[in-house]
Amino acid sequence: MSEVVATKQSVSFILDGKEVTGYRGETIIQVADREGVYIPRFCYHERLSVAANCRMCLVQVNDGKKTLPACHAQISQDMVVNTQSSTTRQSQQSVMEFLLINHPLDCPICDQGGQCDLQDLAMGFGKGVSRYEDTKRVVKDEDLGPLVSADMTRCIHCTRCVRFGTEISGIPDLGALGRGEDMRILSYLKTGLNSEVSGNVIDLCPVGALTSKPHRYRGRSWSFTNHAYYSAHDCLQSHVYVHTYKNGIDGQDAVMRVVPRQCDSINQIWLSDRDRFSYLGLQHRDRLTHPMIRDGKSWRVVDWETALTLVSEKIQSVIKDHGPEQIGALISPSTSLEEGFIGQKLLHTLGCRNMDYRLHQRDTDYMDSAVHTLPQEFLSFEQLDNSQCVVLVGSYIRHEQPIAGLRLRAASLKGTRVLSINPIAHAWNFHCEEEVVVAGQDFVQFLGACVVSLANFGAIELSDRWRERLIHIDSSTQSDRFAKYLMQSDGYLLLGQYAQSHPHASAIYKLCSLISSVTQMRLVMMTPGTNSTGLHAIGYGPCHRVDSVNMSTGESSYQMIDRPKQLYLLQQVEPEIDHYDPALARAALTRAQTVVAITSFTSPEMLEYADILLPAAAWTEFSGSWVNITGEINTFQAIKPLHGQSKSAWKIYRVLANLLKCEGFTYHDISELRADIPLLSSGCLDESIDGEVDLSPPLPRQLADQVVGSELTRIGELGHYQMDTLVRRCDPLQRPADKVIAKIHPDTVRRLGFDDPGNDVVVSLKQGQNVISCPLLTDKTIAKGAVYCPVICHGDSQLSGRNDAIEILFSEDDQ
Amino acid sequence: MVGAQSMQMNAVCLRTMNKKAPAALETYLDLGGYQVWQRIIKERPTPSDLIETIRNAVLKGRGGAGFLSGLKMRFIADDAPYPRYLVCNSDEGEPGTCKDTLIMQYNPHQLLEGMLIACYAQGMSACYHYIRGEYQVQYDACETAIQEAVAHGFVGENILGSSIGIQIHNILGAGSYIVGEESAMLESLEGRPALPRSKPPFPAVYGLYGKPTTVNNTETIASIPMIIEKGADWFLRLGCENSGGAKIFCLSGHVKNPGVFEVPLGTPFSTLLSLAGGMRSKAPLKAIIPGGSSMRVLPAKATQSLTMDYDALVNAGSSLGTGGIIVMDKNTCMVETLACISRFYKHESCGQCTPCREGTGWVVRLLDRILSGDASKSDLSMLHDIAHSAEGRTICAFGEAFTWPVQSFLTHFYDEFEYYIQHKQSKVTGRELKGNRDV
Repeated sequence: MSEVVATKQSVSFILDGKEVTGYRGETIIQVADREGVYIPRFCYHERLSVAANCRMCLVQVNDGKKTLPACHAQISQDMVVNTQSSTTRQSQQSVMEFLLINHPLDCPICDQGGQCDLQDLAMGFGKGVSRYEDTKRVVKDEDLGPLVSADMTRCIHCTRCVRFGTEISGIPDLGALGRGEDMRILSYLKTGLNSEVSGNVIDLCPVGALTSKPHRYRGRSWSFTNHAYYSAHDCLQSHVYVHTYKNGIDGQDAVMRVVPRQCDSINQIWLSDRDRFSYLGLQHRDRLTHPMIRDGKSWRVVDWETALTLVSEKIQSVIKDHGPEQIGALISPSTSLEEGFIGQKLLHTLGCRNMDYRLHQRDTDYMDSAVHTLPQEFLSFEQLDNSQCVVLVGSYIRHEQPIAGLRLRAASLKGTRVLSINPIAHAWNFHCEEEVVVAGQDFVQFLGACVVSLANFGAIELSDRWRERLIHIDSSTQSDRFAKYLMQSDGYLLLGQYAQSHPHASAIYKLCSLISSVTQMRLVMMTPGTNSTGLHAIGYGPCHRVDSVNMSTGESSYQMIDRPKQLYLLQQVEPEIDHYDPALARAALTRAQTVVAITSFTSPEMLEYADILLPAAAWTEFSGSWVNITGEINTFQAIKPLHGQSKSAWKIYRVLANLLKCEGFTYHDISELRADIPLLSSGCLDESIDGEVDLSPPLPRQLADQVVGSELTRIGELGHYQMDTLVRRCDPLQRPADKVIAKIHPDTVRRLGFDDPGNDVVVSLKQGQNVISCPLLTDKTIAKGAVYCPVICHGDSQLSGRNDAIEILFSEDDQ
Repeated sequence: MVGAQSMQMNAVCLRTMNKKAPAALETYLDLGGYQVWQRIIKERPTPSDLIETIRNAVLKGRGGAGFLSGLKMRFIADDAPYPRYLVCNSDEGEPGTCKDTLIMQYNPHQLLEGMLIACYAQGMSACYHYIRGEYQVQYDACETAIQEAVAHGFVGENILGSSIGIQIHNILGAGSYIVGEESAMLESLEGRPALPRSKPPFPAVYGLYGKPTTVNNTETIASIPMIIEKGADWFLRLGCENSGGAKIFCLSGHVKNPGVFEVPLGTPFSTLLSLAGGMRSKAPLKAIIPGGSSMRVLPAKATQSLTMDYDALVNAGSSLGTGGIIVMDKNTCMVETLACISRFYKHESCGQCTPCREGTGWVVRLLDRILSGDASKSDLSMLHDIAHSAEGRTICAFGEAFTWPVQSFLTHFYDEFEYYIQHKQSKVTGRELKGNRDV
């Protein structure tokens, strides 16, 4: 299909007797939509290419006998378009009749009934009675996976879903096979839908052929209440509508489904599967409904007063016996500004500085030394669209930030060059101009080599200290090529999960900010959770300087676990999964005198290490504010009643503060709390964040460390459907393949002195005292010198630091 | 009617037909082949002069649409970007047509020379020759011809020592009817399913790989060398007014000697029928489909004094089409014939757009209902309605291809359909219930 871009040359023509103006290159339907003249359509979609195959939008042009498809016909000067003439009507009625002959006329039992384009348009353009008397086409359905339900007998072959795959997501899961009446839409190799944005075909499908499998037969659209809300699983905060139903589940108000809400600056009209389906976790059996306290080995349900009194007593006793520095708070990066602020204020009042939301990070020095500035710039998708170059530094953007992945693919199709420095050669859905696959220390050193290349090209004047640090690092042809792109382009350096949770994240960050400072490349950290940016902006963390309180620096999430505390306060986190070092975290929590968990969900592990469980409001149940990666502050209201006896976390902190006799916590409602938060009262991020970017070089060992002998580094990502406590409990998103499988480059195996073990071998992986055994696959996409072993989310066995050193033990027979 | 007096058979595309080793390069060279091409390389006439000659010769597209070839070549604007492509359409899927196959098998060099001249005239450096999937023998003949021509320096880089380079690629299709539609052919060439594109943009603007492209039928291209060699006037006078040159007609059906005849345009149908030996039995002529199965049927009385040229056939209520003439005698049941034709179109619809995907099947099911005796009279008006509903509302001309037969059969032979419904048997053959409800 040719892409005709509308130019700004105006064209005026007659639309239904009225003179209207459009631009050269525009189609009739585009102008008609703008003018409020509705032309029926099925295949046309403004975000997809023009297929002109449904023929529903045929309109009469210039009194011609032959009608033209309005979605494809371009406007021309003085043309006369008549959307209501009898010729137009006859065409549209004929097409409608053809569409309906093979379509089941059983709307009452179709899940799309009431929200179906075909049903709606048949009211206007269909005949009351069908004159088709023959048998109808029946199509055998295919299992498209746990998210999308196929009822392909209802398909009208508009190919929107096919075009979504080939054009928008770049993952052509669906295609049209066969011809004529036998044409069918199906996944070519019966693989189902596998992309991270597959649920969008549900919205695109104009009929009941592709519907939401979890939502199927759960309710009719007209009985739902529509609420504007934001999704909470990545740093974009996609705009969504949450549909709730009174007396939905067990006689209670329930979230029935989540659909995208148009927002051109973020998610456009798309939604990731994570954002769309995670609501299913809200009803999970792990939901905590009542406050509970440990009673020896068992748990006792108590009332709030008992629970909170116990918490305040425990806190007081720890402060009295060990001092406030023996308290540590670990909170979710999706904590709202209000909750973060009041929690921070309480801990400060108690004299405690140990608080962190960056559980996934080991090295946080670079952030802690820059508390007055955001360690990055905001991301603008408009700028991304027009970027010449985007460098992905340790980011599998498709999984970490699926919508950003879609936007990057769109930019790439428009000409943005994408470069990647990653520990794995990922399955990109766009063209990757240059790809470097490095892990561990090689990862840092490649960025160092890029800086050296930039210096060699004269793009950067290195200070003596920088020069000293980079003395061991040589440029390579590949770093030269990267440097040339970096010098010549404007765009973004996007730091992803791997870069942030690298043990030498500071070195990576500093090298990238040095590159950013001498090029047109803006540095953006694609943070996990939804409110990392906001929590940083309000200064949540161990190093925030509060003028009225003069305290020493606290400890980061890694330090709090590395140097165990007497009392841990957890909010919406499961450190046994979320923390950089799950094994260490679990040990520290088990050893602690008291663990208080403010949480919506429990886990078997939590029931072992926790002492007091306080049920907190989950997503959709609380009001709050978040700041996303584009610098927007999104404030929202709770849309669903609280589950059981759970409470908003900010109220828990308020009561706790009052029980602890702290002053300044007399907030009656959330608006009083908001008034206390400078960021929210000013509504402006720029004022709360200013300062210079720190361009001092990293510590020498972070750059100079050389990998020796058979030392291996682990690539331990947290799966994209494991990112937070809610997603982990959305069953349809959990794949049976969650069994841990380790992967290694075949060359690495040879370097270790073994033959390629094939694919059936089971090995032991060892990090310090922790050993697991799992199958090992050789895979050429994995960086050399590294073992890919994701974070384990189930069961007892666990490894240590996500990206720390790891040993691999082949069984005796293989050696 | 110049041509009719001294009937010149096989004057243009099939002129090697009666020679020994007709496909050989030597045979073609003996006939003066490639001399035009050599002259063009030497003298370098301006491309627009060549196109003007072709236009003056009134060479009309032989693939079915009958569009003026010289005008089509002009659609590629002078300042159109390069590369530009020529696509030679040898898919030949229209039932009743078997003419391109003979050109490829017996006169491939003239086709090659035509491609070369057309490429030169339109500033093209490559021609893709799309050959119907079933034509393995013809493909081999074209491949051999290319090898011979390359060996003689007629094709390839630095043609005949000049700086001109033209590559010709033969491509064997995968077997579909709709790929004969020019934009579907481009899709297929690009490696996708043969789904016709929406137009505009036309191939001259956005063709193969998005580049300016001309798609011509094999017979059209093979006519070009003779036009350049003997002049526009000769070609025009060979045919008749507004229909230049000769045309290959394929006579099939109830004739004594079914065959392929290249005769000047304007030849009376009666002459053509006698070339095929007349009707095969005593049964007189009932109807003809003059240009492949998608053209409107003509009853016998319309063929009296009918001449075979573009204008005359339009005036008679049909079209010259591909020149594949299907002759039917009085013993033909028109209901069964239409059902047969409609089944073909149901099978070959690409399924892309609604009226065709759904309409072809509906037509077949209605006809089968008639044939199985379950139909009522109102079904006939419904059949007519469906054909009318689909016509002109599809992406490509397939909407016309499957509805024209329905409309014209009903117009001319309504009584037979009515009879079948009332008596549950054919008015002509007396056979009962021929329907196949499983289709």
